[in-house]
Amino acid sequence: MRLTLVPQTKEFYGLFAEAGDNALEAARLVEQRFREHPDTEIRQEQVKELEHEGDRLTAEIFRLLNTRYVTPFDREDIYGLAGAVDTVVDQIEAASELLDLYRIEVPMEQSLAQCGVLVEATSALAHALSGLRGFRGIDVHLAQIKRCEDEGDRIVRDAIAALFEDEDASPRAIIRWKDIFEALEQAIDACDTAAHVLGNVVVKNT
Amino acid sequence: MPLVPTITVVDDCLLVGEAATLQAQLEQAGVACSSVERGAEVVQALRTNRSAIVILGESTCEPGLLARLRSGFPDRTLLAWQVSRSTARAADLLEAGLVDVLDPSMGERELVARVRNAAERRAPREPQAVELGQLAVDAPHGVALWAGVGLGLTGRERELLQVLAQAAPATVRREDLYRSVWGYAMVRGDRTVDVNVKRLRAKLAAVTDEVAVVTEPGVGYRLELREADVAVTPL
Repeated sequence: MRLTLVPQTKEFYGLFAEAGDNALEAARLVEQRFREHPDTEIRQEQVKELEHEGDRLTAEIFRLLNTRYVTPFDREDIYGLAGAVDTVVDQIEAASELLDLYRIEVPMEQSLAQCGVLVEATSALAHALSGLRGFRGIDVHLAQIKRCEDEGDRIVRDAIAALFEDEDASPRAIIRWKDIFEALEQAIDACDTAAHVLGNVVVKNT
Repeated sequence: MPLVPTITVVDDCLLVGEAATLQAQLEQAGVACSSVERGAEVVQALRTNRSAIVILGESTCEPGLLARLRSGFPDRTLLAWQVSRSTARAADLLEAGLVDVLDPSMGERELVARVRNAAERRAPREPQAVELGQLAVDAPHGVALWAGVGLGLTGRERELLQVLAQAAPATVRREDLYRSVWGYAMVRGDRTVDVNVKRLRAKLAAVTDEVAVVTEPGVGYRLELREADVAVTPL
């Protein structure tokens, strides 16, 4: 495989920005799907398409990594960041799939709150990734992601506690909703993980 | 599914032999019985067990369990079984809402008579079909009509409408609606009742403006009929 010596760093930045936008679109789509369920026109296949797009962008970043001699920042950080952003979309898609898998009749309020936080977190992530070139103005978005992660923790603790407040609650409902709450929480945490990687990139390069 | 005149004997007492004796006496008198060993199992058992009468061993009659049984299964009649007669304890149990207190000092005839009386006094609380003005609802039989025309409701929506119609014009709490239709306690944050009521409202509004589901914020819903002098008539 021939390596190029001429820096083509803007390609990396463009792909990361696209990956961030894709994650945000996935979060918005799933938030709408939860909010409108079961009367939504948004199908899980549409969410899956965004997950595939995320995979494509990640694969493209890896391809560039293997064909470029010069990279805008450390190779291992590029690899880690691409994987972390891809995981965000994967987790979003996994949470959305549970609506169908568990035949959810009506999403619970707490899950809608989680989806709202997820949109905020992915929006901040998308902004941070768009500002990767020059490494400026990223910290404010990383702080926002951290606040979202804290808020997500608070919501999921309260949501799970609610499932066990009454011993006569449906066991099936408890199983379903504990899984869904935890899946949405994992998607929010994935944004925080990506933010950590980004934070390290900023520290190393400024 | 209608309740059946069988009896569940619940005995947490160490003297298990006495509970078995009671059960044999009742079965000998022609009363069908089933049993669970511990009070902790009775709530789960009653979800599938259709016994109309529940006889609780004295030691299982703690306030928390009694409250759960009365709220979760209001259509069952609760009696208590004392291992040995105590008038003070019997008074406590009766004041706690149990219908009768049985003990071994009673002869077989008296025991059976008291249990039969409790069974006969029990008013079945099966959902009753209801007519409210031009609204007719009989959820178990799939009927929900306005002026003789089908409302096109799903099973859940029919059951919701039936509960609201039977309670009209009183407000029914969300938690009670959920328990009545879905059979379990409502988890905080569950929007199932609200979403199904929203659908029900839309379907009612599509055929008439004379009946509506009204929200009492923070509490629940009630069915309002905009006609004068309507009576609730069991079908």
